[in-house]
Amino acid sequence: MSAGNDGQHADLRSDRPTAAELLEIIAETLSDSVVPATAPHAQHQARVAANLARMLARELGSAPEPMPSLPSNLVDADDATAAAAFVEVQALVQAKLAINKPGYDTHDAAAEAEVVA
Amino acid sequence: MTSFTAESLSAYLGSELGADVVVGSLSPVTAGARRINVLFDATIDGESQGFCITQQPNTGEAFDRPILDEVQWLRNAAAAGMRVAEVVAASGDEAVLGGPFFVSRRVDGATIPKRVIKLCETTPGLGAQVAHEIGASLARLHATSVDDVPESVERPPGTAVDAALAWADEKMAELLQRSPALELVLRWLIRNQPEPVPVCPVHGDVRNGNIIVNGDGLGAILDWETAHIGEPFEDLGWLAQRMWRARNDQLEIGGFANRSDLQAGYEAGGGDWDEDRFHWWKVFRTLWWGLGMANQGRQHLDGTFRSIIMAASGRRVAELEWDALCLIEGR
Repeated sequence: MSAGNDGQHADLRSDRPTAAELLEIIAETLSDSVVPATAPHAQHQARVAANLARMLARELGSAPEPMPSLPSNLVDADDATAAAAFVEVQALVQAKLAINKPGYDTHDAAAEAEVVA
Repeated sequence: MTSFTAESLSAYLGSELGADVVVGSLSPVTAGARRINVLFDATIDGESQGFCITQQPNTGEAFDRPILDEVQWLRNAAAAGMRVAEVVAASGDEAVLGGPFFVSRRVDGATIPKRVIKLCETTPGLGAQVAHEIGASLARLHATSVDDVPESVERPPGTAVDAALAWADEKMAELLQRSPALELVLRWLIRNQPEPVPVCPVHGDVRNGNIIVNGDGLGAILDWETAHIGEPFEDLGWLAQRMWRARNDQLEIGGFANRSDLQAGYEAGGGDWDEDRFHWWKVFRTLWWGLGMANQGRQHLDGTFRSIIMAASGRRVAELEWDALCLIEGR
């Protein structure tokens, strides 16, 4: 991606490409070279492997969110506790989706309600 | 790769149908995880006809349903007026073709979700018609008697809602790490239980991906492997899951139709519609699949079924958590 010398911020303990950059080329290789040259059964697996490599590149490139402190078991929580936890839990799921499936949360409760109506 | 050839199939069908049968080339298709499906043409007394043979591989998996039970479901469904493939021959004897199997008439059309959506998009009115036909078909299945269900199928002691919640409880306890989102969803389900209704035969996996659609409408409802005794909206709520829409999120039913189309068909087939039940089962089936995905990840990690597909499933739990939270938000 970025060529040239960015002396100040470089992590001199490892060489380029970085882990994230390597995962990106692993994904590209799987998608562009391996998938087209593979039998259907293995092709699906190679596609999934490419997706996982992209997922890991995103995970490496993102700063982890602080863990929210949640009540130990929400199944039995009272209304106030559950309502307070809902927003935090939703944010937790969104942070996972940003890594696992970016954009999935653009279809939200309001959008689904509109589909159903 | 199959345990039979065009020759052995010709001989079997010839004696079974009492006709002169010549089977042409075999085309294996990928459909169903625990079933081998092979399409073929056969010339029967000079006339060419299309068929599909569905075989159970001899994997010795104890949980697998006997294939003759599936045949009984298919025949019951056909008798009830559902759109299913017609079974012309079946055998549970491994000596015949190397594994239990049934042969059905081939139904032409699209099965891959994106192709089904594309076909519905390019054929005015087709999506609504297909949803209507699925609704009518399901209403007819749900009206059949549990007495006609194969004997090996479990008879739940209580209501389907009780069974569903007990199952969820058990699976939540098995998670490798807790899911606060699914806890909130289970909490909602417990507090919003619908009134009990009698159990009935259900298909269990009707969705975009398990239907054949062609220019004339619904060709057939496939894959009766998970048919069981449950309650009607289990089938109907499953059809409405976001994951069967292939990103065509604005159409609730499989990305090709609206709920009102399904409802109209269900009522035309004699079924009673209930929005609250529909919603409850839609939420439950989202939780169900989320727990299913988590379980696949676990099976990968504990070595029960090591595979990159199963590993990836573990990372899909968040999608179902999101979908389920969307469904209970503000309710």
